[in-house]
Amino acid sequence: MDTNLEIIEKNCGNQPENQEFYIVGNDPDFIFVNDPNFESLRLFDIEGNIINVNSWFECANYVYGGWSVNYNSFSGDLFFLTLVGSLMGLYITIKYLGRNKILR
Amino acid sequence: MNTKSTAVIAIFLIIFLPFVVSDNNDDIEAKSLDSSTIGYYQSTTCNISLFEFINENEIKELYFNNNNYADINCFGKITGVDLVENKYFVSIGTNTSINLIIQSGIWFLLFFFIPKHKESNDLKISISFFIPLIFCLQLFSEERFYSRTNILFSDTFSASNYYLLGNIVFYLLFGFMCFELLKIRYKNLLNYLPFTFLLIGTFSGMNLNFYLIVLSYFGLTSISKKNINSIDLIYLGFSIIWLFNIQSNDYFFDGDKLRGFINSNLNVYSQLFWIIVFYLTVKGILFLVEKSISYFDELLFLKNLIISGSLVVIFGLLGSYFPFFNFFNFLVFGQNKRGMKTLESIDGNTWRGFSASAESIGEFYGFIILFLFLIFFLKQKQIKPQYIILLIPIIFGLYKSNNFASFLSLILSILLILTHKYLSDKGKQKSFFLLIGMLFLILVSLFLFNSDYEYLSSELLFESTLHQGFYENPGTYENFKIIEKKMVERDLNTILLTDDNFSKASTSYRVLVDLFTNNFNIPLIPNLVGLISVISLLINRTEMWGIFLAKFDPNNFEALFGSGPQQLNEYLYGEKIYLDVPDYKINSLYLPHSSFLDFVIFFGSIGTVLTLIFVFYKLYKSENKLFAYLTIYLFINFLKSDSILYVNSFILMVVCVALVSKIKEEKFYER
Repeated sequence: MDTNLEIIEKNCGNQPENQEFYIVGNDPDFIFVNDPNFESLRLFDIEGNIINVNSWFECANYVYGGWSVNYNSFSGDLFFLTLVGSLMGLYITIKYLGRNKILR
Repeated sequence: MNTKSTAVIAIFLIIFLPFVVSDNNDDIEAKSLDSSTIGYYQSTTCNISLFEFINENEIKELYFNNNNYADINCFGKITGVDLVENKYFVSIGTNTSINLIIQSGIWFLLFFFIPKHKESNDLKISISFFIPLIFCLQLFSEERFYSRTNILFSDTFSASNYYLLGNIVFYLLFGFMCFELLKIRYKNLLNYLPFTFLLIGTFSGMNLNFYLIVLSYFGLTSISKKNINSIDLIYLGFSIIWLFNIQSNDYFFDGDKLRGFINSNLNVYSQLFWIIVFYLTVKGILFLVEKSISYFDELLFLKNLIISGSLVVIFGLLGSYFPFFNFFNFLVFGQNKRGMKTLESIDGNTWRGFSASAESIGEFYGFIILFLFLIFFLKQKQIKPQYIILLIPIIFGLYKSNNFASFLSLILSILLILTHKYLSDKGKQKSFFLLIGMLFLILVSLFLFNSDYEYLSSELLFESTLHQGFYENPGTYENFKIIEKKMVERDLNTILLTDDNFSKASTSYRVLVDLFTNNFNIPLIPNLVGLISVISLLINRTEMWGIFLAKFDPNNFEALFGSGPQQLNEYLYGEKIYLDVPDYKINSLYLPHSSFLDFVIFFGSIGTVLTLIFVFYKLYKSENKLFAYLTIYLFINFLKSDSILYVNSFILMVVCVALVSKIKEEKFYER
């Protein structure tokens, strides 16, 4: 749990005093109570979905479930195109620089 | 450093580098995995690489799960950990698009190990431009499949669809690689065909196989040389019928163990894609056989069979013992499904992973032993002792495949061939086979006289009736007794008298009931349905063929011309039946368990009969005993297995049939 707390605090800030952390789990009836002293944070999941959290406890639970304050706006499809484009460029370069012997 | 050494290094780098790379400055490190650190791994997804994780964890009770839906930046990294029944399931990001590049790269690099031949002008680079046209069509036609397996998937037609653009460039590059690497090697490819059983070639997260693209390239080359004959025109006629007869719907088949060589959807575009790819694949195989016949070396082919078969056993065992190998076997060898996790119980009776089915791999091992026997005893050729040693894993592989039919047909084939060999006189050979035929008939007759023919002949229809859900409470003993009584009384027609039952029954079932119960009777000639029923009992296929009869519900067009190549959706989901099987089997994939029946589904009765006539004619005219025996061996085994649905078995069968008429016996002896 210590290791989790470390990551949670990196994302949500230090654990407030008297704030106990426990895992809510998949309870659909559970409602997170807003903390007026907590500055709202925007969290992202792996697919780029966004959620705003309004308490340290809510934030901690989402972070525990894999959400994070940092979203890497990495564009996978553009990377894919760049990668295959580069391979194609490499092929054309080798081919037309007359060094296609490497392919044999 | 020579090309082959460079290729080996490149292969290792391509395989392992993506699983090593990670950001060392992110302060996120791998931790020893236990119940207290599961949460840590769940909240640090896409940050810890597989090798970082392995360095910290030497726990045996874990399983690496491949997560194809992960984004590219998660490739090779931990995307989740779960604890299920004391076993840790560690998900590793393996993005489908990157898999496509990595797996193609590995397999293309292996082409460097195929010897070169003299320069040839047969292959043209311009053919490469057709590859993206054909294979990008699949992305749109099988949208339901790809939207589930690739986070990057997008089917919009726009210049900003980088996914589509990337695929177009990739397939074009694939075509170029086929040209560059194979223009001086393709005549030797046939000798390396056995390795298709080791390198299965299915792209992870895709419904596509590497060999289909390569063979399509050769198929296109063949067409460009105007190699068109009457069979091509017949296929064109069938294609038009398939496309016009199609009734698109929502059926979706995720491919399961057939992934890579099956149509996942039932729509015009997916139908068109598989019609084209199937045609080009067969055309490509025939082109390869035609062009490379003078380079075909049966001893090299045999060595490659033995090496490939042994490596399947070795890597299969490694995969079953070590999670690391299990994970990488799937990626590197392009398996359809993950390899077996243990060698015990049901897990251990198949080389699942390396082979989609125990039957298919059993046939392959039987094929190797039969080939060795034919070369060794009949052709009096020697191979090095180390290859004989490698027979140990092959025999072990055959044993663990649990394919008794393959074993039995192998023994019978060897006995028949031996007898045939020692009866050098043609007259004696004819008399021998006549004697064998008569002996077989007498044995079958004795078996039938001593058995309850009434029971045997109706067992197939009985089994099929159990799966139709005609009566209330299907699956109960009461239901069983009602149907049994109907069978004993030969009163099958009254079952179909009610409109409800008539509409529930499949058309194939209704036709067979009609055949079975009509009054037309030729003395001493058994009823066709009764005969099939007896055969199905003898080869333990009654239940599977019974389910087939219950499910196979073609309309008139489909009965004559089939549903089209690789199109199983209508068969699998069209007819709702009650499966009278144990609960744990209810969601299993029920294939027909006969390549003959698979063929009937795809190509209808006309297509099947035409193909059989073609194959038998080739066998009859064959001057190549070696491949005639091997083809017959495969043919017999295919009758009770679905091997025609697996790419490697399909290619092997087509190659054998093609070789039957290509190599003359004299030439074979000359080598």
